[in-house]
Amino acid sequence: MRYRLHIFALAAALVFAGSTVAQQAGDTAVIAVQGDPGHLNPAISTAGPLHAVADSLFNGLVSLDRDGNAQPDLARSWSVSPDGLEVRFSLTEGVTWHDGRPFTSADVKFSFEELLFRFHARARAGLAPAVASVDAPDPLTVVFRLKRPHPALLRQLDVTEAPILPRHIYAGSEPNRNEANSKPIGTGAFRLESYRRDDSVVLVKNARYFKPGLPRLDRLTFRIIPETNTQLAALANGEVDYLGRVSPADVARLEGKATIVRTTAGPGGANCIMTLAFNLDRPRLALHAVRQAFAHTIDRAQMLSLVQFGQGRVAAAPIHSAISWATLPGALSYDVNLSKANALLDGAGLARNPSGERATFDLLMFPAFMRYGELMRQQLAGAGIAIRLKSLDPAAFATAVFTQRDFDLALVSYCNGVDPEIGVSRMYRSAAIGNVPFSNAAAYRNADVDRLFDEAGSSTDVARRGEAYRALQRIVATDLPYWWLVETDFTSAWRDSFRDFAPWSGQFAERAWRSR
Amino acid sequence: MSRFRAGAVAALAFFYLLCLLLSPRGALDALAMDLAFMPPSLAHPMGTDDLGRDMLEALAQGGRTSLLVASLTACLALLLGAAVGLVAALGPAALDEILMRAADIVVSLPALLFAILVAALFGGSAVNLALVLGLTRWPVIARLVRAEALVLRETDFVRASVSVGTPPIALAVRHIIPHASSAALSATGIVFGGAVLAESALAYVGLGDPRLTSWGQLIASGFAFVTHAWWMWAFPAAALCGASALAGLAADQPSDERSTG
Amino acid sequence: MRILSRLTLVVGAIWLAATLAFLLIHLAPGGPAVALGGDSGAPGYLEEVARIYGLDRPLHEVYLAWLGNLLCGDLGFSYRSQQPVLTLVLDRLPVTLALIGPALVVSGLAGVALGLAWLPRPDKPHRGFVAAMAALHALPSYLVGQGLIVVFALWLGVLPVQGLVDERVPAGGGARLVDMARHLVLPVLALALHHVAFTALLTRARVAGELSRPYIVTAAAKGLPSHAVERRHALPNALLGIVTLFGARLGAFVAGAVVVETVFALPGLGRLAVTSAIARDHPVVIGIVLVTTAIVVLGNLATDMVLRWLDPRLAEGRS
Repeated sequence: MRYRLHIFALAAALVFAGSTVAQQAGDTAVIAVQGDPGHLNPAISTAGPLHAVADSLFNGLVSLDRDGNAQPDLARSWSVSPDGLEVRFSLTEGVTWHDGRPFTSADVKFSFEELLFRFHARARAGLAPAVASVDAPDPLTVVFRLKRPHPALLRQLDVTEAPILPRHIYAGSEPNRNEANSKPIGTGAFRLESYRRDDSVVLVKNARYFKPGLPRLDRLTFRIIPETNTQLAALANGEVDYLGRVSPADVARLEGKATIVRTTAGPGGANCIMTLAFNLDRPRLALHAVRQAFAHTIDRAQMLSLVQFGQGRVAAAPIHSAISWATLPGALSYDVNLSKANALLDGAGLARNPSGERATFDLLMFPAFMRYGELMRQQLAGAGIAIRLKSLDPAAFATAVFTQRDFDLALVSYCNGVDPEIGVSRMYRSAAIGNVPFSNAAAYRNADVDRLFDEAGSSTDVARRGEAYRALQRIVATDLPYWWLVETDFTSAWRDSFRDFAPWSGQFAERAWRSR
Repeated sequence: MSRFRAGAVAALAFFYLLCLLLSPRGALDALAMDLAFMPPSLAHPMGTDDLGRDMLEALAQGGRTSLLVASLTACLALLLGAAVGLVAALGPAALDEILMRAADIVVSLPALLFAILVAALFGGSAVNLALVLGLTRWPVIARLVRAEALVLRETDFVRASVSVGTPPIALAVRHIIPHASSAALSATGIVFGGAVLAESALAYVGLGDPRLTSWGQLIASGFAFVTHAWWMWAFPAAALCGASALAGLAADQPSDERSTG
Repeated sequence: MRILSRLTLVVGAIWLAATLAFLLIHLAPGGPAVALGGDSGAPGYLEEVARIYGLDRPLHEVYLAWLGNLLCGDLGFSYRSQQPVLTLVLDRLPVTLALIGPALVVSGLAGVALGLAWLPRPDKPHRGFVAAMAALHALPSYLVGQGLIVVFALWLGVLPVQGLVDERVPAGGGARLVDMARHLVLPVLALALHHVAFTALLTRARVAGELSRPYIVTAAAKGLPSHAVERRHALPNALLGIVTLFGARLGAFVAGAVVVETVFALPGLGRLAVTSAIARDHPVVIGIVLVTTAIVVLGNLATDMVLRWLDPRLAEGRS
């Protein structure tokens, strides 16, 4: 509406132009994002474009530092009972919602029970099964009672995994249809000023923010710019200050022109491994030798250099290398060897037809992963394996792979999270087969692996947990329900005049400031 | 000027044949891989792409798709347009009125937006695009054919054959079509060039045919490496502009074109 | 009489667009309920959509209801943004109009000027000019747009790259308007260049055509200088045809906006069509198709009436 009035006045104004001097607004950071967030309720969706914007409006019980350790946020301290079955949080005093109402433990209880455990895909799959109850004995205390010890709990409570929403706004409503989804009320460092679909989201400083001295910026403007070349040009031209996600190929263009930070965590999740999932329900892929042949054929070093431009690592273990206490370096010892692969396939009875092909498989993936798919198609052709690429949008992909299970191969970016309980166990547990997006795509079943996950997931002793995770990695690295390709890093960039962005966190701009 | 036009048509046909000759059978995956991001050299006159595929072969393959979409569009528009134009000119006056009114209506439809709607409902598809464009662009040609036919109808040799009882269909085949074809082909050139551009526009915004390689798609994917590997988008872009410009030159001049995108 | 037939054209085009959209929805995989409501996966949802749109009735009744709703200005409901389609479309329309309005003017004026400057003469056919215009006409606007960004924003640093406003310029007042105008320069150019070439070639052909007609030959024989002949006799007559054809290309301007709005990150109708298509928010795409059709036919009608007002001869049936 504002625009419309302006445009109609435009012609008139051009005549009288040039009299006003532009005045300097307060410190604003302009953030380029590629897609529209859709709405701004981070508790009912795990969509990346949404969290990139909405996480600045809310808080979790804890925040995560660059190493993935929990730091105080809405909770100022916490304690775990000796048996590990009860975690007690003391909430920060004096926190208010953007509408002035006080924040209390009732909001936390409501958020988990009515929103996160019902609508947030990762909280629902990765946290809800471990939690017996969330209690609010007094306004400043929240107690999580657990069914079994759940050492990953703290790392699942940050604003991305478990944002806290106001009970007084959402109680008694249908969360998916609540008007507050587009006019959010949070506790966060910034509050919403305006949201124009496909154009921009403007946030302004929350003057009553409970962290003293924060935020330092007055405004955050998220500009939706679909074309990445335009994003880069806008950064170079000073119209945009921050790019949350720079594609690997573009990093070199920004070298020396902006502050570039590479992390293993980003708005989409932390510690992600690009993974090829074999549908073990398909007879040919149920053959161990066939999966081994894939491992001997796919050249992951070439993939890392061609597709990721070296920004990441060849996966050395089923668990991401950044989770150093749990990973098992060297677990994946398959060399690229076409003659071995061909021998394995011959042995498995997949003979070449006259045109040299042994079998054709459908590979499903998101459109953004097309280049991985094309490269694998090229590489696998060498072993006589033909690949039909099918790129599907996220919703259609989830339906085809996890609901209908109608696929041979699927390319999934499995984000391990900061603890294997968050993002690893869902890939292997037999209980995680079925209609939950991004769970056990392979339909892998192994009683020993299930038992080891139980052991690792319910112990509070890091050494014992690490041992269990390493033991199960030895098993899955042999069984090969997946082929772990490359660990993919996230790259963010911002103009040098800005400092202290935290791209690994949803609250990336909480501490950012502009130097004069 | 007609030599000029014939030259443009011939160049376009040569272009297409070249694409057919240079592109290997099957999809892009059949291309041999070499080092990625190699600038143009003797081995790879147009360099290699991000996966080490020869850009010349990719370009030829893209040309097959792009030129085929444009040819399909042009043929459909030409057939429909010529048929409607002839019937309007040689048939009864009332039919003429109805057909020309229909042509006015069809030409007002926003073709590219319809193509977007079809891509949204049915998925991106080169054939669907050609259908949408062909079914909305025929009035351009119909109008020209009708105008030519009306003039020819009054000429002595046509009157003479009418007087000896030649049926209208034979009349059209024997006398009108050969004479009206020049004008019709001219408008077809514009339809052809428009289709090349429309295909690339859809590929650019992400609504192209995901199963085929086209020039538009090569440009769109090359844009991801705009400074890193200029040859990845510059050659397809040059080919696209070249084909579209040749089609425009074949049309010689925008005659009574009423295209609406 | 002619006005009446123009009105049937307006109604006919909108009716045809609505009918084609209706057919496409019913042919789409998944059926009309999925096409209109999206597949949210919630149980009972599609039944609800079918009930709202009355899809359970016989097909001809559904069709009549569809036309009836459109007649009442009800273009359906966007499930992506939970708003009526009409609200959404009207909200974006000004941005697109601000883009195509100046582009129309620029390409009209520049095109006619270029066409007149390079009129074919017996001694100088200006084939180079024709080839240059054909090449310009053949350039896809995303290439032109990226090229303009590199030159005017990155090298010369005189114009902004994207968007409609700079957030750092205070809202309200003349500064914001100047800022908006600056932001529109490159998108307008990217959209206009294609049509400049078209108009130049058209003008050239039309004026040359007029010059070969008997009355001009007579005027020249009377000793009028050739530029006077061009300006006083040939141009006005040719201009009528040029403006008519130019009006008919309104649709091409909206189509061009699809790409230009993507390149320059402008929140207009074209961008909305693309994001809605990718999100399978079909009612919005249909709404944009219908509104664009209406703009095109009404634009044509307006052109026609202006021309008639300028030249009463047209009203007498000579066209």
